[in-house]
Amino acid sequence: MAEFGMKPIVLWSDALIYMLVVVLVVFFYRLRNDPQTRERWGQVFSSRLGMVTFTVIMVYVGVALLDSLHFRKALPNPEGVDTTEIFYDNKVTSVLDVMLDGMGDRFERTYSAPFALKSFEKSNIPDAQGNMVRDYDFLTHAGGHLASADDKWLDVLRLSAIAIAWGLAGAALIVGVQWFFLRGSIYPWYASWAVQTGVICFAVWLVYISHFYHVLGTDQGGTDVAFQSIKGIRTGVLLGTLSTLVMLPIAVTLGVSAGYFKGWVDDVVQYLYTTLSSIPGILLIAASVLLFQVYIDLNPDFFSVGMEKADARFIALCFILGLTSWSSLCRLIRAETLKISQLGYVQAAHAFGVSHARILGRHILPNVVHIILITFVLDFSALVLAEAVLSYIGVGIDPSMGSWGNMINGARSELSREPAVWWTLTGAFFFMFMLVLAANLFADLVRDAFDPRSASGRSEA
Amino acid sequence: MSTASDVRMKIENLKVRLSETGEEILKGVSLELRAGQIFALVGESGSGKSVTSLAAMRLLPDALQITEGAVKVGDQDLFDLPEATMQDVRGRQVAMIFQNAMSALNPVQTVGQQVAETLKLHTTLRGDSLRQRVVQLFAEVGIPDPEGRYSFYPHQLSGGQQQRVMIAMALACEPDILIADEPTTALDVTIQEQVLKLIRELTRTRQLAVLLITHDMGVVRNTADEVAVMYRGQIIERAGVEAFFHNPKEEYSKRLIDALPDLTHFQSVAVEEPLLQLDEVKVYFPIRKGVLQRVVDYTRAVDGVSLAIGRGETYALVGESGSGKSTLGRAILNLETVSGGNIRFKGEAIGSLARREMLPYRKLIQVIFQNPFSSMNPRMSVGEIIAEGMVSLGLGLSAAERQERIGQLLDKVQLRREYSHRYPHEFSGGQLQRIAIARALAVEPELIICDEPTSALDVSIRAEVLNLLQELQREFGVSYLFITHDLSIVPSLAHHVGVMQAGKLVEQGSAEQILTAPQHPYTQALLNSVPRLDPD
Repeated sequence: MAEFGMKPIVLWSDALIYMLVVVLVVFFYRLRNDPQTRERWGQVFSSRLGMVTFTVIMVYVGVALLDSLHFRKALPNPEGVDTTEIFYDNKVTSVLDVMLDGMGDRFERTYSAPFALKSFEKSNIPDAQGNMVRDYDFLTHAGGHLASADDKWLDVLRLSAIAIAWGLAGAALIVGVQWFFLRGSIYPWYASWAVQTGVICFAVWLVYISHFYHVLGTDQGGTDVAFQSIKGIRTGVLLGTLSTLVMLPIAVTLGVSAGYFKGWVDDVVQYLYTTLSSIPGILLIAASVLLFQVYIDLNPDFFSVGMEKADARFIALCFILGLTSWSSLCRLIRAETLKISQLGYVQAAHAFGVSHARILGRHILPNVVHIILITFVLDFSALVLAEAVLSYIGVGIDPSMGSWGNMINGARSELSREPAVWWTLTGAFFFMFMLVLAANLFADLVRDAFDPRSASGRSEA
Repeated sequence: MSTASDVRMKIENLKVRLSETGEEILKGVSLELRAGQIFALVGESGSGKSVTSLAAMRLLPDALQITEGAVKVGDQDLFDLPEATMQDVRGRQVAMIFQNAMSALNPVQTVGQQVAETLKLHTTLRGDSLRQRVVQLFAEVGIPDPEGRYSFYPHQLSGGQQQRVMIAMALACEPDILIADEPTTALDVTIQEQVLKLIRELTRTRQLAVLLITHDMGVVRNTADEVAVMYRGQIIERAGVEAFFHNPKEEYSKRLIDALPDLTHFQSVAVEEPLLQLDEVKVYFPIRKGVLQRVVDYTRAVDGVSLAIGRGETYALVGESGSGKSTLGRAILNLETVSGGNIRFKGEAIGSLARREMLPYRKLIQVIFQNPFSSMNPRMSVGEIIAEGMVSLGLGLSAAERQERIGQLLDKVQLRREYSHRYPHEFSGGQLQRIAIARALAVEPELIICDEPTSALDVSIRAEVLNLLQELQREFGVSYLFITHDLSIVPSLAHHVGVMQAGKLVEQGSAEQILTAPQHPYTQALLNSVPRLDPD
């Protein structure tokens, strides 16, 4: 019984990200009533590029969400101890870890190249005669099933064929269900289905073949690099969205109030963002993160497991990034509000005695939403990249939490050795590149559809 | 009048279509421009008059495509020329002036330099003689102190003078043909008249062939020699100007001409109790300077205006842009702080009420704005827009009663009831203005402030909206404060007229009195500049 027991853990970042998902779903559901917004989203999704990039982003978000369902496994009772009390593992596991089928548990001693059978570094091993020699040791979790090392690539090919067959079958099932419901749709769903098929095949292949080989090798600590790259997805996606989420209310509230009430409110807001934007961003972030790290170190009682400590630092980083980056959006919203509050419908609302709160809620906010949306998608990729930069200079994510920035940071010195350890960097780069590229292309489409200044947007100002 | 040999430019069967959808924008337009004559191309927005001129100059945007036709200057077909030669034709042979002079002038160069630039490109003049030529041109187009204005920047000149600079630039290379695309639409009436007069004179003295594009029949009446009416990409009627105005053939042309003021019929003035009374009302805007933003002076937008509007009466407030008439309207609505004087509504002082105290009066005083496109929130349905006032002013109606009332209001403004579920972008300007009227009527006001409600509309629609306003006045006995710069709509509409200039009311009285026997010189100037149908 104890083997199957588990204790769900809700980290702060998990709670926040699920809250965000709920808010977004409600928001988009309500937007359905607005024909203009529907038309513009329709424009985004009627292009194949829009479908493809959106699917890619959704895959990333899905992985991040699965990785945000955490629990602690129950440990089997130690031998000879008879107790009803259940002890839980100190390590926090996520649903994604389970789905990856132990990919993160297959540790090696140190570096190994992709698909290698032997370690990348020599170590002392006993030979057949029992003497200690220095040589490349066999890996614990790679190629153990092979009769001879020469069969390796043939074996990889065979395993790939099996995995891809399974992947295609799975994809056929999933795409088939969608096809059944979306047959008559005017949107190019086939583009999305193509991406889905690709992603499913890749995922099945990766999980399956990881039982036999380290696809992207292992890092210095012997962890599978492919596993680490996938774990980095949650960090990247969450950082992008949570920071924006922190930044949005500040920017919107201050921007709208400054533009609508003018006078001293405007003066104060302008003073604030002018001051903030004249302080070097990196310096401010680095100082804040270091301060918070000191706080964590001085209060170890607040956190029951190490993961919570890392999570606290992560959330702090999101807040700091959010708190330091609201000024540009605030400026845009202030300008737009200034313009809108001079328009006829706001004047007419004043003449009808509509309250300030109602004017702000019904007339001003809905008409600055396009700016918020465009900024959200544009800033997202910038924040993902910012994380990599911050981790690189050592003030980013806690090293115990997988992140692309940490991977790059760990890989930089190894690039200069001969032969180079190139795979950690490649893994992080590939996963980050796909996300940022998809987000940027999608952001372009959203901007084209929603920005009134672009040709396809609304022509009347 | 003239012979075929004077023909300077000939447009033959010009056809243009939208390259994307294949929709025809011009369906075979033909016309000739003759030396010393002004050919007016009239039509409402979207009729294709500007496309005709741009196509003739080969300046069409990429989305439009010329499919057929020829444009001949002399014997040369412009469509056969290479682009390099075409550059030379534009400017040397054919010059163009546009509606918005400010955006056509480079803001960081003096106007003198800009005209000199054009001259340098096309002539051999240099140095002092170049400058002399520019000053000479400035004098010709009637810019005062041409020597001094040479070193002025565009923003230092008034709208009329900017347009004169544009004309000077167009004339710089001694063209034979001048294309003027709505040259006076952005200008006030008094200045409009001067610029038109200049164009008329230049046409005679320089023997120019002028293509005048306009939507304003008054401009045509006073300026043109020949008229062509454009409607949906076709010229539907063409005639000499006298024949056209006395005997229009097409129904559409008649409607355009009918939009001109008729100075023989006025609204009769009844004796009435005053509903709204303004007593020496002042609205001053502080001018702040320095680090501490101290108030150094005031802009006197409204400077002591007294007037009274009776129940069921229309008071037309006439004046040019910047005269403070819109500010006065906003002050009555309590959207602008009154700096001095009293505003009395039914005997109660409402000039300096706080937001909350004003609420009961919001129901009684409503407003209709100039631009129908910006006066509706694009994200609310028509029903929601009309209901907004009813809800916020607490008329105490249930949801079903409100729906019924919205339906009735839409009936009243002659729109279909189903429209209440649609959104503003699905409607034309005229329809939107009707919705704006319905919105104002929703709270059963006694006074509606109409801030230029028809100036953004095409002439033929303008008349419909004005008729609707009058019908509603007869039915509900509502009063209007009608703010306008367009004197031509005043006679049929207003009982009383007030003329504003620089924040002051210079003259007021009954409509008949003001329009037939103006006392103040400014009123006389305004009246003289209004194009009329029948000078005799």
